Amino acid sequence: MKAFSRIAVAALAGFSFLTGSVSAAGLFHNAGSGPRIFIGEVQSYGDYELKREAFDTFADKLYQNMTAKNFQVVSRADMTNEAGRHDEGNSEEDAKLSVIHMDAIIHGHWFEHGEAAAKLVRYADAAMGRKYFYDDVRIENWRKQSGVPYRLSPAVAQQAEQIAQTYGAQYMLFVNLKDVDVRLKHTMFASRTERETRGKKVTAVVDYYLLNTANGKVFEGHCENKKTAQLMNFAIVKNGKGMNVDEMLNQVMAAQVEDIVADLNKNGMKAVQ
Amino acid sequence: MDTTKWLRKWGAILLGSVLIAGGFSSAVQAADRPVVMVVGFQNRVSKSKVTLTDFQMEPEEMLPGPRTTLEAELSLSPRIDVRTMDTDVIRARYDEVAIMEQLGKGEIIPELENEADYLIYGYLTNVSNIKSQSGTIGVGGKDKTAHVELSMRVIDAHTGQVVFVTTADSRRKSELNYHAVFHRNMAGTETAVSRALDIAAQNLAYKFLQAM
Repeated sequence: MKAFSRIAVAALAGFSFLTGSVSAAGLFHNAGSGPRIFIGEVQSYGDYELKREAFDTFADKLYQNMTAKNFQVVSRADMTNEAGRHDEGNSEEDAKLSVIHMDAIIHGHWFEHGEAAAKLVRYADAAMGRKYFYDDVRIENWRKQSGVPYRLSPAVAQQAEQIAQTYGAQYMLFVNLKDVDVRLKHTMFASRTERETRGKKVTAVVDYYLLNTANGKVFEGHCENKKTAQLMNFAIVKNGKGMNVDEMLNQVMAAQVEDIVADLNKNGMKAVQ
Repeated sequence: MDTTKWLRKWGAILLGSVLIAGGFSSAVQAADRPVVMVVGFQNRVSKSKVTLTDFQMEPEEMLPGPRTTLEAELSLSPRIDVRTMDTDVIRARYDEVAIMEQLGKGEIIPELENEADYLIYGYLTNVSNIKSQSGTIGVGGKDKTAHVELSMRVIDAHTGQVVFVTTADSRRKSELNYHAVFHRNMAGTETAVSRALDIAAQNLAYKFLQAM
């Protein structure tokens, strides 16, 4: 009997020692010790849009870069909120996220009423009245104070707080890829005018909004990045680098997410405290 | 009790306990290891006259390679169980939008219950040939570099939240042609793209395992 109990004790001890604690749940939740940020929406509220795949790729790069810089990032499966942006959502949350983003944009320093998407213009007019956005003196003064935090409309701020609580995050991030411009450059250096030899220039403009749901403060950031490529085939000289538009856009996006995350670290987090 | 008897008795106990514990531990670990399912790779690259200029391959044709590599790399890890399914079945049963909608509402999809803990969605986000040239008549050259980028989202099958996202890219020379010094044709664009995709998929697997 004594020997049997010894075997049992030894077996249990060995069992607990060797099994360790392997758990299937929550494997990825320990990454990052910085602030916990919920990515609300990565979309365009400008008057020209990219295909949805571009927003998804941007969101992936942003997520990766933020985690690399120690942020704890939380997100829904639909990171870009495609459904909410285009009023096709079948959940209340989709629509609310779109409204929070729009509210942050219209109160921001960089909002341009004349170059916004129809949905955003309608929201802006309904929220503030069209006259508000054509007050040139106010707009000029406000633009000069770029970087100064502001607040959302109270009802919208309340909605944001509720959503953030659902995901256990204090901060929310929204990105507005408002303008992407692709230009083919002059061909005077190309004796053969193939697509590869023509110069190209891609410019992308992004506004982003960091919201502290605890106090309703919003920090608005703005960045503009360019990439050019030109192959020269002129007379006897051949020089330069050529690439397709996708490659250029990819490089521009990579530069932008780095700028955004650096700005959040340097200015954004401090501004919304 | 003499010393020999005492040692024999405790040796037997120790051996027995180790054997029993070992058996239990492997069974429990196998049961507790997270089950990961690679749903597959989708294409985010649009082939148009403006974008993909000189690729003969359709982006869709490039997708099976990285999936196989990713599954193979992940299968080597003793920390996870990788479950694979036929591509057509996956497409039909694990439609991304449907998963987002159902999991977003807190519903568990019957097919996923006890099937997988994490779903991996892969994407081909960029594939291009970067050209570089310099020189004049007789002396000079040009090269082409295939650049591919893959992206991966890991979704918690129980909550529908994205729990990990990463990207990986790779560059391989597809053509190298220098006059006056040497003339060499590399493997060609298709092979370069295929190799670059393999390396990028391996990097994705590495990053996934690092993040766990």
